[in-house]
This record gives sequence, C-alpha cells and structure tokens, in this order.
Amino acid sequence: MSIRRVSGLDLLLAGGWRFYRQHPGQLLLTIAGIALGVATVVAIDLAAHSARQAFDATTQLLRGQATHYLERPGGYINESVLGELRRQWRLPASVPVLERSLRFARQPGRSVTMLATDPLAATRLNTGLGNTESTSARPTLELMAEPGSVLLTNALARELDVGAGDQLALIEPADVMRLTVAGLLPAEEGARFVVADLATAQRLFGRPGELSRIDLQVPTAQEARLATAMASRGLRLQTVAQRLGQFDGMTRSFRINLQALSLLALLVGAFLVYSTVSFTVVRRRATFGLLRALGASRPLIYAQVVLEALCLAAVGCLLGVLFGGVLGAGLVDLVSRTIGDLYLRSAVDKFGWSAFAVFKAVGVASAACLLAAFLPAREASQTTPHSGMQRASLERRRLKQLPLQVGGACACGLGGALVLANTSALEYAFAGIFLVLVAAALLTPALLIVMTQAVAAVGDRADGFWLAYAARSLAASLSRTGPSAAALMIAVAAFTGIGVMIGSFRASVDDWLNYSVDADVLIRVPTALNPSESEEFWARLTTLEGLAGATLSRRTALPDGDGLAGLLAIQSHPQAGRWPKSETPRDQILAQLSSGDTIIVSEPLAQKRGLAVGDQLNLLTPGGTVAFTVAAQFIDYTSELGLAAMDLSVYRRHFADQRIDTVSLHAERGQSEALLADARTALADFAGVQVADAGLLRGFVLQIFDRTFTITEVLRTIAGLVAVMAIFNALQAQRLETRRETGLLRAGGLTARSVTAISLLQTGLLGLGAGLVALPVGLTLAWLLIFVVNRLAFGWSMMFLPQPGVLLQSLVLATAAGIAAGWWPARAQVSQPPAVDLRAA
Amino acid sequence: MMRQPPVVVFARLLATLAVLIWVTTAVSQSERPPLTELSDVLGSAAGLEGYKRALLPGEIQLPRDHGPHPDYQSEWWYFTGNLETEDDAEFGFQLTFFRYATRAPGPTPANAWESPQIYMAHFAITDIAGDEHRVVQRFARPAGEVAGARSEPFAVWLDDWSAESLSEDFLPQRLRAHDAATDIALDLILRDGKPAVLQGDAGLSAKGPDAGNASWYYSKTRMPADGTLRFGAHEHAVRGLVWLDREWGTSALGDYATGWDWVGLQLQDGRDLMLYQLRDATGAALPESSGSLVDAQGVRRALTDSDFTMHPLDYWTSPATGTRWPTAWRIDVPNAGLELYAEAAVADQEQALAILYWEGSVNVLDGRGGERVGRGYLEMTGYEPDSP
Amino acid sequence: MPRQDTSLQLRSVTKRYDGTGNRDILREVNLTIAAGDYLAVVGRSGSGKSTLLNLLGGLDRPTTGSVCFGNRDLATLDDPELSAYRRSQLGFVFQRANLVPTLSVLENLQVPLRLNGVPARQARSRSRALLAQAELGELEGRLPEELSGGEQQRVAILRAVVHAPSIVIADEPTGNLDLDTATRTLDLLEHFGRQPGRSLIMATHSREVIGRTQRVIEIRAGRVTHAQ
Repeated sequence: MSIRRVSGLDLLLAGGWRFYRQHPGQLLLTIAGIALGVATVVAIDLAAHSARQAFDATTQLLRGQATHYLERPGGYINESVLGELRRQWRLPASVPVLERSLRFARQPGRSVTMLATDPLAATRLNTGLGNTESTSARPTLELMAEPGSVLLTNALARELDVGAGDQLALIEPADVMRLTVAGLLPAEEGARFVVADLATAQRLFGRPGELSRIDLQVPTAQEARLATAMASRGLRLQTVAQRLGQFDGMTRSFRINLQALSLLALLVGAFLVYSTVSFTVVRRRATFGLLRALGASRPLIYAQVVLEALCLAAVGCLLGVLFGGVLGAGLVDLVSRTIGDLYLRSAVDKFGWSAFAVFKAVGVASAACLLAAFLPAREASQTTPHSGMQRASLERRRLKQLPLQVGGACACGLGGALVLANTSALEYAFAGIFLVLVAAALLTPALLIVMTQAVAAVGDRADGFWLAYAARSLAASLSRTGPSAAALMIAVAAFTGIGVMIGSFRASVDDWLNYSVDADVLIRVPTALNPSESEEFWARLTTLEGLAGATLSRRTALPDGDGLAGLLAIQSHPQAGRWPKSETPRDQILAQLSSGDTIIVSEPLAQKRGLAVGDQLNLLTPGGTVAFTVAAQFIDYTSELGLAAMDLSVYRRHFADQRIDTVSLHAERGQSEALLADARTALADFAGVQVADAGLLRGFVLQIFDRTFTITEVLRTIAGLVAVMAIFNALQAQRLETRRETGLLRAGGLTARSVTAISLLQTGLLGLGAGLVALPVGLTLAWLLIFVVNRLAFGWSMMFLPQPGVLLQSLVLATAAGIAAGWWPARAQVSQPPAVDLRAA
Repeated sequence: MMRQPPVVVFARLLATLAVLIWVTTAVSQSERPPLTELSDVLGSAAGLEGYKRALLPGEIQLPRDHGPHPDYQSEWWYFTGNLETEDDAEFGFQLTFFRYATRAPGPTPANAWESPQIYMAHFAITDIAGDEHRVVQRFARPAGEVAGARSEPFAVWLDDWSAESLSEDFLPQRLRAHDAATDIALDLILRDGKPAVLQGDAGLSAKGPDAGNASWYYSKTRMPADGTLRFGAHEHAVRGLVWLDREWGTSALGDYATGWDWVGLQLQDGRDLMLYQLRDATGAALPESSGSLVDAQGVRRALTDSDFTMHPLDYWTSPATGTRWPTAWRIDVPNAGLELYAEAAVADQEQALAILYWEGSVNVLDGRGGERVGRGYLEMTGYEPDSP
Repeated sequence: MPRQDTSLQLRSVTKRYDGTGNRDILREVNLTIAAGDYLAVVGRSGSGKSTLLNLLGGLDRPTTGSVCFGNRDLATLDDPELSAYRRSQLGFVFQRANLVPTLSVLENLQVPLRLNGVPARQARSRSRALLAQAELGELEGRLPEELSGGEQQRVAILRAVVHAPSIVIADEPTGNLDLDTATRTLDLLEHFGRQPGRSLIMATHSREVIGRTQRVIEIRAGRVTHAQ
C-alpha cells in the first residue's frame, strides 16, 4: 500500500473520533469492556507473580548462601537429621528451620509466618538475620537466651504498632506463651514475618524435635549421593532453583485455571469490541458510502476502522493495566492466603509489577481487538459507493449472510472439536475452546431469529399483537443487534460456565473428601515419640471407647528419583474405611496392595509418568531398586505432583521405617463424639500428639476451597458485568434502529406507556433469547474446562454437575439485564416528542 | 588448657560470644571485637547463682568424670600434641571442646533447643617446617545431636570433630577433626600412657581465695598417638605425644588478674611439666599460680607459686592485632633441677577467636646446653595492647 | 501537449435491478459527453436519472453494455483503479447527505484533496482559499448539521470542484431549495463547475437549469432522447 493511497487517513480518523464522541455511551462501554478484560488478565498475572516473589522472599531471608534445602514433603524432619548432616556427611553449613503460622491477638483475622532457626548456626550461611535494628547489641543472642523473644520485620511491627520491648499475645496457637519483641528486622517492603529461636518455636507449637526443613550448602561432588541417600528415607533434597520451580509446579493448577478464566474475560471483552465496532460501522454506512463515492479506496476505509478499534484498545489497555494493578494488589492478599492455605505459608504482601505480565496482557488484548475489528472493518470497506440501498435490502443482504454465518459456525465448531479431541497440549486446548465459543457466537443471530419467529408465531396464535410485533421488530433489527447479542451470549455463557465449573469442582472435592478423610478422629503422631512412651501410646489407643477400627499411615516423598511426588504407606481398615476413591473396587485394591510389591497411583501421577495398570514403577529402597506393580489408579486432589500409595507392611519391609504419622480412628455407629472425647483425654499427656475431629477438618478443607474460588467468583462477577454492558450496547443499537418506527407509532397515537412496554418486551426477549442460547454454550464451556483443560493439565477426573441454580441465575441475569437496559432508554425516548424520533435517520 | 579462672574465661567468652555474633552478622570482617563492648557486656554477664561448685577436694571419679558436668558453668576437653611425620617433618595441633551453660540448671527443657548448654570448639594445626598456623572455630548447640559429650563410653563432639573412645575404656580413643575451608584435618588414635593426674588439691584447683571459687582439674599428660594429618594439599602419616587437660567448674574472678601463661611440656627423659602463671597488672605472678611435675612412672609432685619461675625472654608483635606476645621463656624449677627454655616453634600461633590468645607448639631447650630436651605447648592470654 | 481524453461514453447500456419486478431502468442507452460539455438530464421521478448519473460516475455497473471514460471501459477497472478514477476525475454533488456529518466544512473540503495525495497544509490552504473565493469563509469550522440546506449544498459544490476534476456530476442539486437559494446555488455551480475542459452534468427538474445548459437529454421509459 503506497503512502498515496493511505493519505487522508488522519482526516478520516478525525471524523471517526467525532462520531465516537457523539455516542459516548458506546465509547465508554467498549473501553470499559476492554479495560475489564485486560484488568483481569493483568491482575491475575501480577498477583501470581507477587505470590511467587513472596515465596522466594520468605526463603530468601534465611537462605543466605545456602545452595540446597532438605525437607520431608508434607511432613516434618526430625532434628537428628541435622546431626547426621553435620557429622556423617560433614556439612557444617547446615541450618535448621521451622516455619509455622500464628495469629496475634492484635490481629485475629490475619495469620503471620514465624521463621524459627538456630541463630548460631545461621551465621554459617551468612543469612540476613544479622541486619537488626535494635537497642541491644546482641538481639540474636537474646533470641536464644530469652525464651519467647522474637524479631519482627519493620512492616509487621508497624502493622501491629509495637516496638522493641513490647509483648504480644497469641490466639493461635492458643495462649501458650507471650512473645517479647527483641528487635526489628529490616526486610523487603511488605514482608511480614516473625523470627524466633527454635526453642521458642518448638515450645510454642508443641513440636519438640521437629523441623520444617534444613538449609544447607552441599558441594557439587556430594550432591548426588546425598540426594539418593536422603530420598531412600523419604527426604527430598532440592537446589534453591528447584524449590522455586517447585512453587511453580505446586501452584500450576491454580495459576492455569485462573489464567484460563482471565483469558475468557478478555474474550468477552473482545466480543464487546466487535459489537461496538460493528455498530459504529453500521451507523456510518452512509458516510462510508460517501467516502467511497469520493474515491476513498477499500484499504483506506479498512485502515480507518481498524485504527479506530486499536485506539479504543489502547485506551482500554491503559485503563485496564491501571485497574488491573489495583485489582491485583487486592488479589495479592487473597492469592497469597490461598496459596498459603493450600500449599505453604507465604509471608510477603508486597505487590510487585511485572513488565512481562503487562506486555502480555496488552499484546493479547490488542490482538483480540484487531481480530474483533476485522469483520466490521471488512464490511465497512466493502460498502458500495454511495449506496442508495435501502435498509430493507440491507436486511436482505444480511439474511443472505446468515447461511454463511451458520456455515462458518459449523466450520469453527468442527475445527474446535477436532482440536480438542486430538490435542494433549494445553495451549491448543484453549484454542479449541476459543473456536467453539466463536462458533456459538456466529450461530447466535440465526438462533435468535428462529426464536423470535417462534415467539411471533405464538403471539399471532394467542392474539397478542404487541408480542408478535415486538418479536418481529426484534428479528428485523438483528442486522444491527446481532453482534451485541453475540457478545451478550458469550458473557452469559462465561458466567454460566464458570459457575457450573466451580460447583462441579466443589462437589468433586466434597465427595473425594469423604473417601480420603474417611475417619472420625485423626491423630497426629509426633516423630519424637520415645520408644518407651510409644508402647503406652498404642496401648491406650486400642482401649478407646467406641472404636471400630484404625487406619495407620505414613507419608514421605516417593523415592523414584526426583522425589517430587508423595508416597503414602497405609494400612486401611477394611471394614470401617472408605479410602481410596477409584474405579477399581476397594476390596480388590486392598487385596492387591497387601499381596506383594504393588502400588496404586493417583491420576496426576499416572499421567505424568505414563503409568497404566500393570506397569512397573521402580523405587529406590535402602536395599536397592525394587519394581512395584501398579494395581490401580485412584482419585486424589491433594497434589498435582502426584501421590502413590502402598500397604504399610510392604513399606516397612522395604524401607526400614517403622514410624507412623497419622492414626485415623473409625468410630462405631453413633459413637464418634464419644471416641473423640475419649481420645483427647487419653492422649493428653503425650507431648506433640494432636487429636483432631475429622469432620471439622473436612469442613475446613471446604472452607479453603471456597476461599480459593473466591477469586473465580470475582472473575465470574466481572463476566456478568460485561454481560450487562454488552446488553446495554446491544439495546442502544436496537433502539436507534427502531426509533423512527416508534416515532411513527407514537405519531399514530400509541401511548407512552405502551411504547415503554413494547421496548421492555423487546429488550426482555433479546435478553431471554441470548440467555437461552448461552445456557447450553455455558454448559459446554464448563464441560470443556472440566474434562479437557483440567484433565490435560493435571489428569484429575472431576464430576460434571450442571447445577440448576447456576442455570437459573444466568437466565435471570440475562433477562433482568435486558429489561433493565430497556427501561431507561425507553423512558428517555418517551420524554421527547415523537417528532424527534421521526427526524432520526 | 585454659588456665585459671574459668570465670574470667567464661565471662569473657560469653561476652565475646555475644559480640562475635553481633560482629559476624553485622559486617563480615575479622576484626577483633572492641573492648568497650566486652566490658559493657561483662557487666551484664550471667550470674553465677544456681550452678554447682567445686568445694571439697577428692570428688573426681574416673572414668565417670571423663564425661560432661552440665551443672557446672563451664568445662573443656583440651587436647594438644606434637607430631612428626616419617620424614621427621614436625607439626603441632590443638583440638579443644568447650561447654558453657548460659543459665543455671533448672527444670527439664521442653525441647533440645532450650538446653542452656553451648559448645565451642577450636581446632588448629601448626606446620612447623612450613612456618604456618591455621585455626578454625565453631559453635553449636547440643540439639539434634550436633554437639555433645557423654561418658561410658566416652565421647565429646561438635559437628564432625570428635574425641571418641573405641571401647568401654577411656583409651584407646580416636580424635578426629576436619575443616574444608582451611583445608586441615586430623585423625589420630590415642593410646594409654601415664595414668590421669589430678591437679591442684586432689583435683580441686582453686582460682581465688573464696571457697567454691575453684574448678575440678585433671590431665592425661602423655598419650602416644598415631594417625594421619592433613595440612593444605598434603596428607601425612604422623605419630607423637598428646596431652589432654580436663577442667570443669563455676568460678568468679577478681579484677586483679590480667591474664595467664600456661605450659605443658613433655620432656625426653619421660617427665611432664605443667605450669600456669596468673599475672597481675605489673606482670608479676599471683599466688594462685601453680603446677605439677609428673615423673616417668606417672607420680605427681605438686608445685606452688614459689616453686617455679617463668620469665619472658623474647617477644613477637602480631601484625594482625598489634599484640606483643612473649614467644620465648625461661622456666626454672629449682627443686627439680630444671632450667629450661621454651621457644615457640612458629612465632605466629596467635588465635584471634572468641578470645584473643596464643596457643602453640614450643621447643623445650636445655637451660645450659641449649639442646632440645622436649616439646610442648604454651598458652598465653591477656597481652592485648590496651589491656592494663 | 497531449491532452487526456476525458470524454464519457455509454454504449448500449442497459441497467436492470433485481427484485423490482425485472424492470429495465435504462435500455440500450448510447450517449457521448465530450470534454467541456454542459449537460442537463431531465425526466420524471424514478425515470432513471440518478441511475444514469451513477453509471457515469462509476458508482454502479451496467447490466449490459459499457461505460467508457476516455477509451477505458469502467467495467475493466478493478476497485483501486475505479477509486482512483472517482477521486481524481470526478466531482459529485448528490441530492442530499453530501457531507461527512462528523467533519467540519473545511475538513469536508479537504477530503478530495487529501485522497489525491495533496499534503495536509496545502490542502487546508487551498480549501480555505476556495471558501473565501465563494465568500463562505465564515462557515469554515461549522459541522454540516449546523448549516442550512442551501449552505450544505454550496459547500458540497465546492467540495466537488476543489480537486479540479475533469467531470462534475450533480444529481438534482437544487431539488429541495427555494427559488432564491436555488439560483444562488446554481450560479455557484456554474461558476466553479464550468471550467475549460471540464464537463458539467446535471440531473434536474428546474426549467431554469434547463435553460442554462448547452445540451439537454431526456429519459423516457428507460430510453434516452436528445433534445435541443
């Protein structure tokens, strides 16, 4: 395209800008739509980025020059391992760490992370513990000498309004001791945690002898040997970089789902752009015709429309990034807390900008807008010069396009289905879903026409003249309102789909919980239980009142090489238990597990390692490599890294580890409360033993789930908002179209009330129609998210529950929004004399 | 063989411990801790109430007392030795395990980290031919079995440094230490030589005039040893004689003592001589100074401050700390007919650790003829430039 | 200097619209308009005047026959060439909706110039000069909706000639105007529309217009007859 051909573009754009200024509602709605979409993408990315930094910051403070971390996944390390590392492995730079969360009485709603270590040992790694501002010259020594003394980060001290020398009361763990602030620790802005000596922490949490991890320096030459030796005991050795990667792995499910939803929000925004740009093209048909008559070439007109869309996108992106920052900052807390609940305790509230996230969002949004503007721009450029074409013939042309749209819809739908059926890559799955949604959007005008014809027919038969009129009028104006109706449909479909997905997830988790937490009382057995104590302990257990049976379990890392997955060694009570949840019958599983070197694997593990029933999984034991046969797959949602399970006696035989982590007690019918109470009393004097009500625990997990999905609810609300915007958009277009018609009717004597009623009928029908189309689309979307995306990403199988409540919500939303959107313009219209309407072009 | 008032030692130790932590964590320089900090903290050093005290002589029982005494405030196992390789290259070594209690014994702690004990260890090797001295210091708390001591069978350890009996008997035992950063390592088997010698009054060693101001003190003055030693790139097979000083107690000190000098000499005629001299501000020996002379059969003769004299003859000034250390001494024990010179085998065996002191291998020369009549170890404290 | 042939020729042109009962609006029309002709096209409402003008301006294609500008059949031109033809050779005045509603008077004038590649500053000054020449300078910044019908038409006329086209086509330019305004408008059109070598073709009802033109052609029943 030579410059000569494109010359005059600025003039055209000036005209376009004035046009948008004359339709501020459209302008604002579209920019808002883009902004919301961009904001969602940016917010989610930034919140996840901040959470990652938070994770890093917590470990960074104590990390110093450590090169590795040693931990027992999902459990605690006994501190005797520290002695082993120092003495047998000759690694003097080994530092113990205990990390737990607590809550201060001053701030009951928020939890704070406590990092406890040996300050003496910490000097070996040159950690950041040295930087304290304190009146005393020896704050770290005080930590050791004075039980209960702690250091607070600056930010936390400010939050709690305390300084050196003040005391702090705790509500969690319940009032064991008061803490004294020995000094302040300058740390990253937003970092809020407490540093204490291990003596304080172990006493506070009732965990004598237990550590969360050991930070160490390992020379490269020793690394492999140490890792193997530790893995055979269920301990995982990771480099610093690996641990950060582990964070990514752990939170991948969380992040992917959130990102999928944010992209959906952006898609809805893009549809809004499409509908607005379509509308403006349609409104300016005469102008485009004039320009073409004056000799403006097709590419010039095309460029004008596309550039207008890009300008909208630019403003929308700018606002979206700003709003996304605000939203993200608010989400950081939510995301951090959720990740903290689900995986680990993060300690930084700092919200950090990531240029990458912003550029990505802007890039995707711009591409989406370009794509959205493509069709309207093409239509504009195809305008016949000074078309004397009447609207009716235009409608006829539209109708001719209808088969094309339906054809296109089928093509997209087929393409999408093909992609989804044949792909194992997440990105392609998203692309497939996109195609399916586009197909649905293309079908929407055709479906709406069919629906309105049906309503018109009903109106005719039932002698409802105005109903039929409203329906027909709606159908006739679909050339103008089609794109907006599609946008509305997509938004409502997203609203529905997300709602069904969340509901299905929750139901699946709830159901699975009944299998995996299948006991009445859970008892946590401390690692430091003496042999002498332990005899007494087991004796007391067996004599508890109301006990039907017990399940014993031990959790470590899976010694299969990288030790990332978990291993559960379990002796499940055959009658009283229900674990595991699997397609294979439970009796069969239990029988196979106890009959030899067999193992069952969770779905994510099976997917990751490509394990089918009958395959072999090699595990490294102290006695060498042993091949375990996979007997079945089971459902487990605790980790996407995977979980394997074997019989406890088989485990003991191979791994020389006699410890038990958890005893699950099953009560006789109706005896669960008695069992709980008896357990509490009988085991009260064993240090570190914790007795928990399993029912409460299940409830707690669901609470965490709900909190996790608060974020998706936020997204869902945004989708709903965009839906409402889309419908306003659509109805604005529709109103302008029928204005003249309404003017004629009013001039002919129709009352204002009737005009309003007709308007509401039309807009209500539009909303209802779009809503009805959105329901199956939303259900399909949910189905795809559950069965394709999550299954691809993590291998989980979930139930699909199309909850009627959600469906009803969506219909009500669409229809109510439609009526509401029709109300105000109708009122505005009837407040002016009919002549105004008649003059309308 | 930290001579004298474990009190001074301990108080200073605790103080410098604190300062050390402060210093190493604030900036990573190896400066000497400023004395103002020391004296500040000295004033607030932990009190001596509640600990067990050495009161009446005769309570030492071996082999039980080889192990730790946690009710006393401080304690050490002090190994020093002179070794030579097959090619007669000579080395000296020191491996000391210290135990300190940061507060008086009380109720059973809820967890191992609440233990009031802190362990410190110094490990040094002197390459005499190479005129080089390397030393490492470590601290640890006994939790996680990282550091500790026990008796029957005997062992004391901190990280991978340890002295451990090979059977139910105290000896033979294995001494091991290793540090990758300074690249020194030691692995010796110690065998029984002379019987253990109780110092002071049947093991009760007074530090001052007040009752209870004393420690329990015994030594194994001559244990034949052989094994391997590593210094830098080279590893050597070595053999020689090792001296162990064992002391534990709870004691305080008057301000009149500035420092002390201690020697443990192993003579070729089979005799072992231990002398410590507590000095006042003028450099004169205080009446608490004392010593022991152990004959070839292991019979001990106690020496009081009037039985011996120690005079510095030559000095060496440390470029690192500016301290002027006496590195050559004239030692006379008239009633035993001993006129000796003790000369530092290497001048710079200064150790600027939690405490600033000089601990090193010395050659023992005949006072008249000048020929070498033995080897030993010399320890000196209290020579800081601005000390009184 | 070889002059470009700016004559228009219609040869056996027939135009039929679908969906209107297969009626031929124009039948076998043969017409030649030489450079510099001043022509009026008359006929009853719906007789096909506008259609004829659209065909001449390349805004529409004949069902059969050819429309030639110079020697080139417009039907052989692709869209870019056709656009080029329209913007450089033609100036169009429609019956109404002549101006881009969202551009000011001055901006509307600049459109043909800018489309032809004239730099912005020059286009502005030329447009301003033209407005001044027509004594319409004070309308410069106004939007079309702020102008009366007559003012709109006059601006449209200026817009049709600002880029010195070789053919000016006006479709009932005075159709909705009162007598005085119509006269003024017509004067303006003739003043600017009639330049040496420039053809001016008008579709009209007005007797006065007919009186002023050189040629008059009449369309009756889809056929063209020449009068005078």
